[in-house]
Amino acid sequence: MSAAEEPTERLDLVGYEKITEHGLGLPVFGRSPRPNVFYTARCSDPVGAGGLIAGFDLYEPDGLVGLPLDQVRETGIGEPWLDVFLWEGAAYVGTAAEIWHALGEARTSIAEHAPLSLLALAEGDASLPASQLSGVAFSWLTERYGKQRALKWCRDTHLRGILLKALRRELGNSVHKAEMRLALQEKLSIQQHGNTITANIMPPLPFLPEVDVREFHAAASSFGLASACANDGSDTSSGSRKEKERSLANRTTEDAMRVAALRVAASKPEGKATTTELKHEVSQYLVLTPRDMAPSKTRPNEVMYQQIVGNIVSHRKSRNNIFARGWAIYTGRGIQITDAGREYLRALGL
Amino acid sequence: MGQIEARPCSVFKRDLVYLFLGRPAYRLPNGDAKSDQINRFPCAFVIRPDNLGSPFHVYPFDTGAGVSGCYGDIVDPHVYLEDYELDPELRAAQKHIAWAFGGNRQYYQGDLIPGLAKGLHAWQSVGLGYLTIAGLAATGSNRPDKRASAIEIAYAKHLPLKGHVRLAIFPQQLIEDDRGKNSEFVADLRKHGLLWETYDWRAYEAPDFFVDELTRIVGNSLEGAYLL
Repeated sequence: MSAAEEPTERLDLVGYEKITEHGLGLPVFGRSPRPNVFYTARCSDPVGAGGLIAGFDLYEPDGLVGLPLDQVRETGIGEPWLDVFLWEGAAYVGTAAEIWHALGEARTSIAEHAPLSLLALAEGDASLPASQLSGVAFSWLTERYGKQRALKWCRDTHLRGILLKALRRELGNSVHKAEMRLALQEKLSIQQHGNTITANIMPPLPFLPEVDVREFHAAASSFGLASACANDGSDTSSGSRKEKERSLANRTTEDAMRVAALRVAASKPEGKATTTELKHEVSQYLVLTPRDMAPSKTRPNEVMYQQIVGNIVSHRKSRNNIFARGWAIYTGRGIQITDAGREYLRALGL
Repeated sequence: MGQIEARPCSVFKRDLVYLFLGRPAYRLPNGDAKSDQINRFPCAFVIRPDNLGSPFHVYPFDTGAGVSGCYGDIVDPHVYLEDYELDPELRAAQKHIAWAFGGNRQYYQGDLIPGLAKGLHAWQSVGLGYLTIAGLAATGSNRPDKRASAIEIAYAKHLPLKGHVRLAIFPQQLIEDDRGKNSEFVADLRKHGLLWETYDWRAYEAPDFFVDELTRIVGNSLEGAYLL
């Protein structure tokens, strides 16, 4: 049995390979602090962050940088994922949280010069402030490379990344099937119309749980973007499939939009939401259909459902609207939910 | 960042630059197993071939992968590598795509026209051998390796980036911290006015993930140019 074929349950983190002089590098492992056969680790979680070491694979380094002996660290299958982070000539080794704390005050400088790398590190542990750093990264990109480049990163890398991670988690081991790999490239699309980001998840990708879609909306909202997600992936439960087929064929009803608008207002201080806030946030309470997200024919920079939300506020004389029913009052800039409106939501179990 | 340099090729015994037509197909066959730097930190250049002159050779698959045995024992041992060579011109590659795939999109996905082998006689061993190899790249293959049907175009000269690159793709770390080593890279991006895109590199991702990200980005670019 050659050295390469021996079981590899426990190894030393002995060095790394790097893309450039800063940020995350590729951790490289061996059987001893100065080995001649090398490995990379495989992560237990298909999207990595916060996962465990699931195994080791042979690796042929091209430009290995060995760690000083006092940084060589033994680890093994089932133990937390280890990263190597480079900053100003030093290598920081450990879990994402360990590196984060070891960086200390250097984080200020990293945020100033390499915020994407700092964000990548923070995404490795749920306790770290990744969402704040995404705003820092956006500002940095805007300043360095312009608004369009920053928006592209926000849309195609950051927001798409949130949905991609969630989908890969849902897929589990199926994520390695050629059909699903192709679907992740072609059936998850993110588009931007004006200030609105719309995501489409189509079969054979799986239907995403609401909690994941909410994370997407929250992230979009943190950039001041309205968002919508046509979450039309495959679902094996027959009950919800009927519901979904119906929603695919039609627009969301105005009644459903009214309820969602009331929920947005209920979530705000004093129950007040501006029309802009309603248009941006109503999608967090609905599963929108592709027809909802078709571009508006009369309002550039808006999609259909936003136009309907606008109508809910502006068509105040309609007999069935939220004002006539006493569920909300018009504030001049939007709506304020009334006690009757809150009671109505409670009656709906919302 | 001025040019892609021709490097010594041990198979064809001369300095060559290897490109694949329309696909980022560079990886070793087992994306989750033994790997090296190119699998872990891939970069891609999408090149316009219009003004590059004639290629040194055009093959309907990655010859390097074939020579190193990546296509396994399905290769007909009685067919020599050079028998598969197409005419050394881009038009030959286009004709090959039309014959084997029917269109650019199908070629991009590696999906051959079904039933092609039935139209060949048993003595047409080169065509049959090619279809067997290229079948390894199909979406439904149990060991998909896109190099098996990626058309290889080699140039026997350095390729200047300026004027020939339509898109560069690399890890997003390279556009950060331009105080040191990255400063030249970022300056060159700006100076040459190259279109570029980045992907989100993570140490925990397997090489397959990077292949898929590059494939998606290149595919979007080609679609945007109405080439797919």
